Amino acid sequence: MPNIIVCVKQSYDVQQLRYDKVSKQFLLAEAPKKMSDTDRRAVEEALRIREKYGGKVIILTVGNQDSIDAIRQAYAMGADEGYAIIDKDYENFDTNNVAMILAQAIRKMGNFDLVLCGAESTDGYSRQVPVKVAVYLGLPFINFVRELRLEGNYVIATSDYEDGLYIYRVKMPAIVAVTLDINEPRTPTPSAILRASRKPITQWTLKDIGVDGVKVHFKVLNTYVPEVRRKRIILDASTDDKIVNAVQKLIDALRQERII
Amino acid sequence: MDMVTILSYSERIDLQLELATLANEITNKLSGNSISAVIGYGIKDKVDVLSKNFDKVFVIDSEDLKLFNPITYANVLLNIVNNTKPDIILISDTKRGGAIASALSALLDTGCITEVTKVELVNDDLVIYRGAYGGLGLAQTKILTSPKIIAVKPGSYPRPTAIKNGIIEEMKVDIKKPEIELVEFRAKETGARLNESDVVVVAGRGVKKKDDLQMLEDLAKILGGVVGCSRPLSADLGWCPTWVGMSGVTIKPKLYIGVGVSGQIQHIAGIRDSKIIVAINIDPTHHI
Repeated sequence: MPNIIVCVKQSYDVQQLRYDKVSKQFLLAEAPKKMSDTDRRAVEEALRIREKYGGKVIILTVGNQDSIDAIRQAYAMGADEGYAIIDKDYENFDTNNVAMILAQAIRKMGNFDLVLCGAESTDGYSRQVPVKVAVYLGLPFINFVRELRLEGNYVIATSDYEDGLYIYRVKMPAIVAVTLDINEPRTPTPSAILRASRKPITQWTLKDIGVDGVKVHFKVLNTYVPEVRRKRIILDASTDDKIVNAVQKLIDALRQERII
Repeated sequence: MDMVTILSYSERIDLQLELATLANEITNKLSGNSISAVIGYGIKDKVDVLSKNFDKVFVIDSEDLKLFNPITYANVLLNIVNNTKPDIILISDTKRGGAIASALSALLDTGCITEVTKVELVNDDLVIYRGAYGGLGLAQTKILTSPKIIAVKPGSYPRPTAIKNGIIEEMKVDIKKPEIELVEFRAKETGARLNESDVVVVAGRGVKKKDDLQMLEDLAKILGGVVGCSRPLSADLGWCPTWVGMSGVTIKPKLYIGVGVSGQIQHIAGIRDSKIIVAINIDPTHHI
């Protein structure tokens, strides 16, 4: 009966992220947040493993008070337990810091067979954290997994690389990062969401897991929306008689740009 | 910084050459050494071209590296890092490269930036640009620790003209193989190299039937280009081996033609640097 720890991140919902048209800065304070898309699939995969083989699904996150919502979302899907490492400086943490904190928390939690992560977060997209957790824990790591099953004490995982699919077999405990393609996550029912809001969550500080302070390795100087000047020419080809004219204008424009 | 040492690594020789261009750009301004690392199995014979573009090429060729694992590869690369003491480590940000860069950053307890599209030298320090928030934004970043690990997206730099006459040195190192077994490998059809073509015609969800891709193929053929897909057509329907956009291929052709592409920001992030963008869509208000 495997115990599975799923690492999740509460991310900015980039589809709904807006920016100031003049300063080109993102309006982060008002931006809605949600659990990262790949992390949601990691939770779903853990739940499917539990449905087949038994065991427990334990959610772990590092963040600020907002991040606790990611655990609530996972509870609503059916997760058993949730742990949040909360720190007011979280926004300044880099990927080494987050991975090290996750690894320390996992060590303290103990008693696990598998750690699942989303291969990348929806907002940061660095793809750095899962492999770093594996380095810090000294455990085998399989990346970009789009198919997963257990076979006794072993994980059989299909890794999706540029040149092909690699099917690996590794003994647990192991760290596995999953991709968006691994499953279609369930939508929680309203009553499950309500129950999730009342379920207890264990909150730890850095001190609780034996981390005294973090060293930051890089900093972001500025994040902005790059300006790309486009001509924004719209050609109307909405009816049959307009198509010929529109195509001719497009060809003329491309000739003018010396593309054709 | 005076006399910088830059170490470049990629699992692909062609991407090593892109890194050579960036490394040369930096060492031309600050004098220094540009070193290349080649690690893998059966790769020894392929490194000659690198000696024309780097001052020195270190090669670690071992059967123990047949099975790829980012942590194993990072530990092997660590031997070359300890030997050469680089200030900057450039790694091409493929799926393998990004993970190796990350693992190496944990092993060395130093900063690493992935998804990098540009590196600028400002007052002898590096300002590193990477995509942010699903590709909607651009972040200017700085690494505060040494060595600085920078994972550069393929296609961000052109290939250099050979100007060097570097030495090739083979190294033997102890390799701790991962406790992972490869059960099966299924090769993907490689398809057209989307990021190498001047014209790319991309099919989006507005293309309803797979047969209709032929029309796009015909158009691409006339223009001397290739056809690609957006993510749903590739990942969900399997019409193309890979897709254009974030987590797929980033392209910057002279001409991009999107047919029935709605313009999700992850897609835009992958085409933003195209010279001309032509969108064919039934809805004139679509994001693209």
